[in-house]
Amino acid sequence: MLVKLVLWLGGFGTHRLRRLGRSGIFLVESLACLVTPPVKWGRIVKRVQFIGWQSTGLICLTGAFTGMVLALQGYSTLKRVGSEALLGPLVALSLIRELGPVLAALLVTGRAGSALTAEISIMRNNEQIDAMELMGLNPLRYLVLPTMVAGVISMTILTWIFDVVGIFGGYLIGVKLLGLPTGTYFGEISRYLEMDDITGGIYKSLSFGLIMTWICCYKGYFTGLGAEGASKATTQAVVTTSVFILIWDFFITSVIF
Amino acid sequence: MIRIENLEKKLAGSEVLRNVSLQVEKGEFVALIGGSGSGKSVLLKHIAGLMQPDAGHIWLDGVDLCSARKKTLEKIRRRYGFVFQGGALFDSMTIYENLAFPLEEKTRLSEVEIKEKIAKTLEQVELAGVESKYPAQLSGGMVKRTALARAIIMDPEIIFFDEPTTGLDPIIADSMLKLFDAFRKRLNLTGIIVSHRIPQIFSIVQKVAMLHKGMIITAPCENGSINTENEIIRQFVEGTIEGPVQYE
Repeated sequence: MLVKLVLWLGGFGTHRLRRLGRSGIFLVESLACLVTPPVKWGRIVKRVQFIGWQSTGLICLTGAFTGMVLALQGYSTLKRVGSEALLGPLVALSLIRELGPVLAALLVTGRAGSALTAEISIMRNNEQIDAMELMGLNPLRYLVLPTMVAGVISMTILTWIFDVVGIFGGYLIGVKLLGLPTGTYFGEISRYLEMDDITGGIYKSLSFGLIMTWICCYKGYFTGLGAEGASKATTQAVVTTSVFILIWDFFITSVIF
Repeated sequence: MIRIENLEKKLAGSEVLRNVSLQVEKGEFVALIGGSGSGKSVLLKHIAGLMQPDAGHIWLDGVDLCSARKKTLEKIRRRYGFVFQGGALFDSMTIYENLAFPLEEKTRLSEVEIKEKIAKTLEQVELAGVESKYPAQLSGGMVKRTALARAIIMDPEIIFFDEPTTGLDPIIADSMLKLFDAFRKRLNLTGIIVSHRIPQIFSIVQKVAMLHKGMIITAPCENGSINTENEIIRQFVEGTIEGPVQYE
């Protein structure tokens, strides 16, 4: 019984370790294509259009409501301690340091990441990736690297948009609805917001962009067979990316802030 | 030209290829037959360098594909053309873009030359005028023809067909086989064709290789008929349940 358990645990551990190694090699080999030309800029632009541009509406909508709810909750809390004037910094710092990068990453994972996994899975199952290899073309260069670069670029821009729209949403609630002076809202933001907060948010969004595209492409590239394989890969991609983003967020926050 | 020696492969614990050996001479066309799930596509993918065996060797003009470096393998693949079962056309691209893709990436042809070459190739496969269509807008037969056009557009020396007539009606399937044969003769191609079109397939090949229980049995082909006394091949070709092999 004990021997069986040890064997099972050993097999499970080896299997997990092997998959971890394979995903690491996948990332390194994909990024290596960035330093060995040609880099497919046209494909990167197309991917930015898909991951970034097509997510803008969603990001604006959710960013605005996140800022608004932060202002509503923040105002009532700050009022208890007589610090309503600090509503601007509360909204801005929460968004720029934490909520903007994390929520934008989770939303883009749901919208674009799942689609990327499904697309690559179907390409794998329809032997389109094999066809590319047989043409002597590296699928990592043509398919994966452009997605990774586009993911990093798009995620950073989308996070900025989320932050700006969120701060504006907070302004609508704090100033227009609850009667805080405009000068107080923005003045306190400029007083308390530091460059490190902004760069910290940028580092987060850059890393989240890479994590999202890495995991989603990897799950699609090594998908199971048929429709079941593709659907499983898509679910796993979204869940793994979301969990990994939240874990990574903790570590990166503890290092950069 | 192609020499396979003692190839072995296990997939999900079951032995798919067991001590497989096969030789394909230059200019020879071989039909790879066998029951469903016998490992024909797996063997083809090994020869194409898309899969690595657990043991054994595949030699192409003296180069061992199983131990070749990535660059060497890439060079060798440029000598290949591959027609996949479902076509494997890039469905986000038009037919023109599908055919132009390898030419743009792997040759130094100008845009005009690429356009001319594509038009000529499509005409050869009787598909002139479909350049702006997407694969989803084509019929099954047209997809297979486009796949053939893409396979030959880089002027390969060796061509592989993975069940190229599956899903086609008998008349279109036969016309496809005739088209493959015409191309083989015109371009002097060496190749392997996986097919269930028995006995029609025998008229375009010189040798039949049957995969049975992970092993290969070969027989020569002459004037459209198979020349063998092997009972396993005979039973399979004649499609009878009674014989040395008990099919379930």
